[in-house]
Amino acid sequence: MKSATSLPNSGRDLKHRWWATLPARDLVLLPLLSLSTIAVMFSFAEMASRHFWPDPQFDTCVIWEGPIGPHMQPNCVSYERVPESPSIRNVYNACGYRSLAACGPKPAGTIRIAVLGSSAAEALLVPMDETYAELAARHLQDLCHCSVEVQEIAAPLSSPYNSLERVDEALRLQPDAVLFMLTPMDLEALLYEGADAKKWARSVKGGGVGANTGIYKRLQIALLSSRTALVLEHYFFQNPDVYARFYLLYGDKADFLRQPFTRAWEQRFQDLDYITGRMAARLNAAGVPLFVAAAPSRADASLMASSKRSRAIDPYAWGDRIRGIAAAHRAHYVDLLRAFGETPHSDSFCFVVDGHLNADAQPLISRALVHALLAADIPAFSSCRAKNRSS
Amino acid sequence: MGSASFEFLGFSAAVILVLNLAARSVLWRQAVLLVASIAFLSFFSHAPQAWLPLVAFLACGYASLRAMQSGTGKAGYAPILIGLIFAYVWLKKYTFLPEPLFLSFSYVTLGLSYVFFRVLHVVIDAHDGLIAEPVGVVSYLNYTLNFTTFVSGPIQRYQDFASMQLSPTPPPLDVVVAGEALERIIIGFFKVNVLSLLLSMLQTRALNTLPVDGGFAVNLSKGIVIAAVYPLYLYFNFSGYIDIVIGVARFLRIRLPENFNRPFSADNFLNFWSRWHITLSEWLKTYVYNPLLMTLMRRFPSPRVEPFLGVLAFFVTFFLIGVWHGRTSVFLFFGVLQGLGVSVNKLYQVLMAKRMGRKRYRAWANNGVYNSFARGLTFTWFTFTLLWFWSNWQQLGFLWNRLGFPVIVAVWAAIFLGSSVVLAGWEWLRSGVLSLRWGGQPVLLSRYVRTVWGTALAVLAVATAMLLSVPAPDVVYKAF
Repeated sequence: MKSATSLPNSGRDLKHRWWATLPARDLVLLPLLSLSTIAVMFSFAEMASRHFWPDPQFDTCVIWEGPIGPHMQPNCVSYERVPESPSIRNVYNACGYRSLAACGPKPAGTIRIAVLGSSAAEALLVPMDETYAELAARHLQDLCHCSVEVQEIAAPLSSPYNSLERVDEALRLQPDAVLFMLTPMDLEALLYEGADAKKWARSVKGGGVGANTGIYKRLQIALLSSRTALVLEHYFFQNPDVYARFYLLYGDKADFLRQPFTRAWEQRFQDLDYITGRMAARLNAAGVPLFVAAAPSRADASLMASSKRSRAIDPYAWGDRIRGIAAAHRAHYVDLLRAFGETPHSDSFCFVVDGHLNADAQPLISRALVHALLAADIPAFSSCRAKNRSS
Repeated sequence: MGSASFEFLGFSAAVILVLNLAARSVLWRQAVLLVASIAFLSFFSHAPQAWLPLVAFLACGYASLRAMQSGTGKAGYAPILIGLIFAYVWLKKYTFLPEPLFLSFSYVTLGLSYVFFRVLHVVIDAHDGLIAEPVGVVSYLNYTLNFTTFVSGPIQRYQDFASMQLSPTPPPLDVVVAGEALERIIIGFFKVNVLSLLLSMLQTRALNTLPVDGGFAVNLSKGIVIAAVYPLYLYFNFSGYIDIVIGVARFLRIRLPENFNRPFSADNFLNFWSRWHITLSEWLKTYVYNPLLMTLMRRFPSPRVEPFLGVLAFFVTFFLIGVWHGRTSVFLFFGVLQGLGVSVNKLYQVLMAKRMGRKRYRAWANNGVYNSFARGLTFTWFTFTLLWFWSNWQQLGFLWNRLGFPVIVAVWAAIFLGSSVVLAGWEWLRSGVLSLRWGGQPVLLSRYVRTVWGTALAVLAVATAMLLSVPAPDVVYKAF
């Protein structure tokens, strides 16, 4: 029998069959051994990752069904966490808004801001007293010397259409301003309506394994949703260049970063124009100014931080388009993208894998929001403006 | 493109695929290797001017080679050699030359040292009639610029290179060879990207956190880490690179010479240098030590002084090894320490053999306890000499001031005792593990265990590269 360590005979010529130097069983056994090694290592890594990176906790207060899309149960308390974040306590007020203030009739002398949008608008995974909304309220309170409160109507995975459905609800709060915050993912959802929207939301939430999902797809989803993959991604994507390079491998999902915009993204901007127009018309009729903000995704922030950006990539372009849409409907634009772009290492203001803006991003958003509110000619903020100027 | 990077492996994989499309054709292999080597060089600079000095040096080398082969240049042999050595020293900007003499534009010196060794080797061997066949331009360029060995060797003899590259039956590539080559690449990748990276981080951290007034125990532990980790880092870095290029070259139907053979198992400094950077030691032995010793023996033809001439020749040879590493006074001192190490070692052997008799001395040198301490002393001396390899006078002054004399003495005593014990333990463990046999072969060397081991290293190396998300560490010897 040929020994297991024997070296090949250097005198053989090239006509020799390349596989014949190994016993036939080893041609199967060795690759299997290799695969088994990977499987065993992966299992150990998964166990260790699950030990050190805790399981996610999902918000138990969310109601997914209904005409207004995802919304929260009134007077509900929940805990939420992704493996990258600490456990966050969510307290929803009597209206189901994630807000420290009550949502009843607006007390006299109080400035009230209502926020529409999705998870970024709600400041998902950020402790409630550290959200941009709370920081902005406190900042404005100092400037205006009156009570300022922010009511978070926003809910995770709300599409812009859902936000439009909730404008009347916002108006019932008698707000002095309404903020409509958008992320690229919110715009991505615009092409999906009705059943498709639910399917899209499900795919974002849980990986989208259905009865008809094939074995390969199931395996891929299982691997990608493993804790080991998450830990690897968490460290791998620390580098903004690496993250941006990988993100740009996406097609439609990443096309908001590419110039010129694709037809699908042009369609989304048209839909947003329609939604913003309807929203602004209703709010303007009630004398409530609308502020539209474009909040960056981690891909945006990474590309802003990257020095290796090609000319066809523009992380600011989608925000500029939203600025144009806002201006067309006499809404004010809050330029969060440039605020991020001008801040060094702003890619670290997002959870690396989860992608949501973290607590470090909140002061930046708060400052940009306060700046936009005071810069706009709104009677409710006139006294704050004067004090801000004098200070 | 670093030689231990994913980019290099991707580039190599593409070259391997193309070359093996028609591996039986010498012309094809020559063409693919040349194109690949030029493409590899283009990663370092796109400016044609930056390559001019290297091109000129190669052209001079080729003209000299042809002149030696044709016999027309034999009369000018010595001036040609002196000219090539001067050109190298000049292009490398050795600091003993006056500054205004140097070229004012920036140019590539990467790999120049290794090109120099190859060029000098072919010229000398051609003069001595050891390269019979005329060397063609393409063969010469492939030999000197081969992308697998360009950056930091190993230094292969032209005759060995040509016997494979110019043969219609190059070394075969079957599944076992491919498996072994892949295993070499994985081990090398792991050594550079995991072990050397972590060791480098450990040493840098110890250096950066050396307290102003840390107390004896803290300073002792930091001093040990700073000094003793570097040789391990250097070994894993350089030998890992060598593993990678040997593996890649084997896929290209070229067997490269080994450059390392468990150097820390050496029980004396002479033996150490026959296990560390072997091809450089061999080169210097062939082209410096042997001719120098022969010249000295002719000049002083006395059997009584003959052993001492060997001591002197060793000093000169290994002093040159040190000097070759760098252009400053630090490396000059590094060379002196290398020369002292080998020459004192040789002198000790000569004197002990004289005093005890060869047989008794050999028996004594093979004693286990003596052997362990000799191994520890070899490691300690090499570690000590490396202070002039990785630092400069200013840093050495800083270490001296921070640690203080008593701590420094304690550090070296601890390294000597610690390395004696650890290396003895390692040797004992290694021989114990290898004695576990099945079917007449050590279990750990069976292809099944090696498959598991190789896979695990590959997974760990890729995961670490991904987790740390830092560029592949540069090969230290790239700088020389």
